[in-house]
Amino acid sequence: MSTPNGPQDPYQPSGENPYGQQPPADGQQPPAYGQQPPADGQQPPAYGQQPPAYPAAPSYPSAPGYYGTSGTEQNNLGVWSLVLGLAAFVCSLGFLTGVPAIILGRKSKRAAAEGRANNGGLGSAGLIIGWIATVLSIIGIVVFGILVATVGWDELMHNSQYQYSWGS
Amino acid sequence: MTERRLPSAARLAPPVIVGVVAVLGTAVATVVDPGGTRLSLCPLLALAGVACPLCGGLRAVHALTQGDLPAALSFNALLVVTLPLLVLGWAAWVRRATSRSGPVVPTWVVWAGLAVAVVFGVLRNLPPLVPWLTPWLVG
Repeated sequence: MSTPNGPQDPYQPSGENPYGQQPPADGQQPPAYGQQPPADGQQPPAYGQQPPAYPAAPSYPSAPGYYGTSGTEQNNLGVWSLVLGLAAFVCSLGFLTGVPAIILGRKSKRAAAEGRANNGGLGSAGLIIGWIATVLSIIGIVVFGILVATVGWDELMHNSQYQYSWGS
Repeated sequence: MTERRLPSAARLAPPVIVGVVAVLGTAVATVVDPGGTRLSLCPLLALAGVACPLCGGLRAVHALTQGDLPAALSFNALLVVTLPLLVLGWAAWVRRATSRSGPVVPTWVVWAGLAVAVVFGVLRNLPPLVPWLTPWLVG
């Protein structure tokens, strides 16, 4: 695997508040500067609400240059969330990559709400797929456990009555 | 609650968890032969008869732990070929989490990896290539 939390590293010093400003908490836009806070802290403001281009959501108006003007520095979160969600669903990895997809999807949506990413939709997709795959895999594990408990491990694994074998 | 304010221990947790899961999985795949059962545990393979890009991955890891590279390649060529890259990427991840320096995997690499996986997944299900890339689907 690789570095889902890599891209925010260049912005690490911002955690120390070099400009003395509080970063927004819990995905809420600061209501200052005449901006509307987003509905439930998840969606960035609509396109028309901001004079600059959409990716340049000025969540940190005190230091726009420092935080970068693109607003894409944490786009990795959404991409990784979607990829892991797809792997969880298509490749039957279930919760193994589904849970990371959920976590990264939440981070991605928050980053989009705070103007650090402009691909919150990918994060949402990864979040949803990750949840579906996770729930399905838990159901599958429960069903498998019931099968093992009722049929027995050796029967289940080696008796042709229960096998569908490799391939079709 | 953004990640850049997390202490280094919390930043190190994700790569460590992934590493531990990978090591445990490899250990289990070393001891247990994933191809030794008659039952495939993959729903996609069972229900659709389709091999996803990861199909044969556990068996490939098992073959590698037995030193059988040709068998590993026949189980999942893509995984075996990209395994060194995955390990490198994981090492870079750990380095980023500890020293906050070193290379970052760019977003386009993730997209490229997804594209390669999809192409591999399509190719290995094409009948002419099945004997080479997905031999257990033959017949």
